[in-house]
Amino acid sequence: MPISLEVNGERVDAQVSPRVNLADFLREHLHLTGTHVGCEHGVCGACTVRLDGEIVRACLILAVQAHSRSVQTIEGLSDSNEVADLQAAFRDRNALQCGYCTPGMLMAAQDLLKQHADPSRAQIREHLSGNYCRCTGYQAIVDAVEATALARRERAR
Amino acid sequence: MKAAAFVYARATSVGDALALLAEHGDQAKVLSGGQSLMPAMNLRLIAPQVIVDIGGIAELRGITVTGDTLRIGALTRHVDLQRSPVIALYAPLLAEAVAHVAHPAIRNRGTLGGSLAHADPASELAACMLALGATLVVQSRGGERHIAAADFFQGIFQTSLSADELLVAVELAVPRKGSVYFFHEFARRHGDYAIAGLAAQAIVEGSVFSGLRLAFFAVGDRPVLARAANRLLNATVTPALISQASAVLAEELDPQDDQQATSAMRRHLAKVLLGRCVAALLFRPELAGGLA
Amino acid sequence: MLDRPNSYIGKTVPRPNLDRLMQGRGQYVSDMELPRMAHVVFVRSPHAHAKIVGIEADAAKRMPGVIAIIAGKELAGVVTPWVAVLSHMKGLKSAPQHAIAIDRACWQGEAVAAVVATCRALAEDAAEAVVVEYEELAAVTDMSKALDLQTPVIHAELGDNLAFERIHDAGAVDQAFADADEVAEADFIFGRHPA
Repeated sequence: MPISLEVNGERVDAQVSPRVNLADFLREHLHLTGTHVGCEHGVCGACTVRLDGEIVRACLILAVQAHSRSVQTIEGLSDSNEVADLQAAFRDRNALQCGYCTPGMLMAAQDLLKQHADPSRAQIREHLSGNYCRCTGYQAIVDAVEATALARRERAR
Repeated sequence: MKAAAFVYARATSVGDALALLAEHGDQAKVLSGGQSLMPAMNLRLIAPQVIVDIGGIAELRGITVTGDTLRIGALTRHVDLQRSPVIALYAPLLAEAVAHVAHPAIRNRGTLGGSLAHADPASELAACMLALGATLVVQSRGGERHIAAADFFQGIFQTSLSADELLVAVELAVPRKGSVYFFHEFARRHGDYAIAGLAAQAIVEGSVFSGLRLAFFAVGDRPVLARAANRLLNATVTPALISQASAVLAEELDPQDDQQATSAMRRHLAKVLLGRCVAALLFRPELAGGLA
Repeated sequence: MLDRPNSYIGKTVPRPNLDRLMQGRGQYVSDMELPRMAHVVFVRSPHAHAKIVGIEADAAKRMPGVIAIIAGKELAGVVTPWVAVLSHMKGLKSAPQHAIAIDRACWQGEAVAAVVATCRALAEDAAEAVVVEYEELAAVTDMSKALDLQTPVIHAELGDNLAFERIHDAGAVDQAFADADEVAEADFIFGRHPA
C-alpha cells in the first residue's frame, strides 16, 4: 500500500506491506534506528515516538495508520535541539548506561515537561512508568528530568 | 515477534465498516486504538485474516450531552476522557479510572470502544460502565441495538457483540444530584493490570445510601456488579452491616488464581475495597475497618 | 577521596559516547544491516523433555524468503557441543549441550530447528509451518526431588541428576543447633541472581 507521511519535518512516500509496524518502518525503511524495539508488545517504551505531537508506541501502530500523519523520532527532537537540555542533564547525571531505553525516556520526559513545568518526582516517575530501564535503577533519570524542569523554569523567569 | 500477514481495509464511514464486517465476519478484527489488538498480533496469539481500521471514522468521536444523556463516541481515547471538561462534569469516575490505565503513550491511542469490546476482566472502563449503568450502542447492517452494560460482558475477552457488529458509542444518564463516586485498584506497579479493583457510583442522602452500584473488576472472568451493595441501601451503615455485605460479596465472587494473586487474596482485597469505598463515600474513615 | 595521583575514584569521568546514544545514533546489534543479511528464527520445544520423533519442513522450505531450515543433526557436523564444566568447580558435571537439539529436547524452549530467511517476519511465518512430532518423556522440574531414587535420570551417561556439590563444614554446626534455645527453619524461594 502506498503511504505518504511527514517524518521529522520531511515528507516521506513509501510502499509498505500492511503488517509492517511504524517502528520497523522507521528503522528499516528510513534507517532511523534511534527508535528501538524492545518487547514489540507495547510495555517497554523503547519504541516511543511522537505521532501528531503525542507520544505513542511505534510497535503498536501500523505504518499504514501513519498515512497523512506527522511523526517525530528522537533524531528529529535531537536535530532541532528541542531536547538538548534534557540530553545534557542525562549526560551530566549519568542517566544512561547502555543507552537503549534512552530515546524512549527522552521522548516521554519531554512529553511530561511540555505539559507540566513543575512536576514532582512522583509525577515524573508516573509519566515515565511505561519506560523500562535495565541498567540505571531510574534514580539518575528522575534526577535529570527534575533538574531540567527546574532549569527551564529559571530560564523562563 | 512480527505480526502474521493480513488484508488491511480502512473504513471511511460506519456504513463502510459494517459492510466489511458483514462480508468477513469472524475472519476480521476491528482496529480501533490497537493497544490490545496489536500486542496480541505481534505476539502471534491471534492472526486475523482481515483488519478493519475504523480510526478515521469521524462520527465515532465526540463527547456530547443531550438532555439527560451523555454520549461518548467509541473512538474516544483514554486521554480524551482525561482532558474533557464534559467528562469532568458529568462522569468524573471515568476520568479518575482512566488515569490507572497503562501509561501515557498507551492512553494517547487506546479507545473506550476498543477497551469495552476487548473485555479484559481487569479493565477499569468496563467496570465503570457497570457502575454508571451505561448502555452500549451497537450497530450492524441489520440496525442498531442498545445493550445494557450488565448484559454486555460475557466472559474473558467475550462480549455479546456478534462478528458483524460494531460498538459505536456509550450512553450514560447524567448523574443525579447527590451523586458521588469512588475508584481504587490494587496493582503491583502503577499502570500494571489490576489485581483487584472497584468502581462505584452512589447517591448519598444524609448519611444513607439511597443508591449504590459497586462494580468490581479483576476478580473473575468479567466485571461484577455486586449484589452486596443492596445490603447497604437505605440503612444506617454500621461495621456489622458492612460485615454482612462483605459476607455476601465473598459468596458472589468467584475470583481466579493466577500469577498475580490467589483466589483468597482477591476475595480479601475485594472486601478491603468495599470497606474503603463505604468509608470514603460516607466520610466515615472508621468504617474502613482498620484496613485503610 | 583517596590521595593518589591520577586516581579515578571519586571523580566524574566523562563518557564521550553518550551524546551519540542519546541522539538515537547508536549502533546496537539490531541496528546493523549488512548486505544480503539473513535472519534466523528458532522453532522451540514446548515440552520440558521429549524425544524428537521427526521434523517436517518441506512446506516451510518452499515459503517466500526462506533460505534454509536446519535441524540439530545437520549442525552437529560443524558445531562442537559445549560441555559446561569449570576447572575451579571440581566435580561439576555437564552433558554435551548442542547448539540445536539432536533427537531429544531437554528443556522447554530448547531449539529444535533454525529457520533462516531474508527477513524476520518471513522466517517467523515459515517457523509456524514447521511441524515437529514429539514423544513426551518424564520431566524433572523440582530440584528438591531431583536426586530421589524414583526420579528419572535425564543424562544416563552422567549417572545421576547431580550437577555439582560443595560441602562446607566449619565451626561445630551440629553442636550449635543442639545448644540453641530455639531452632527456626524456613524455606525461601527467590529468583536466580546472575552477575
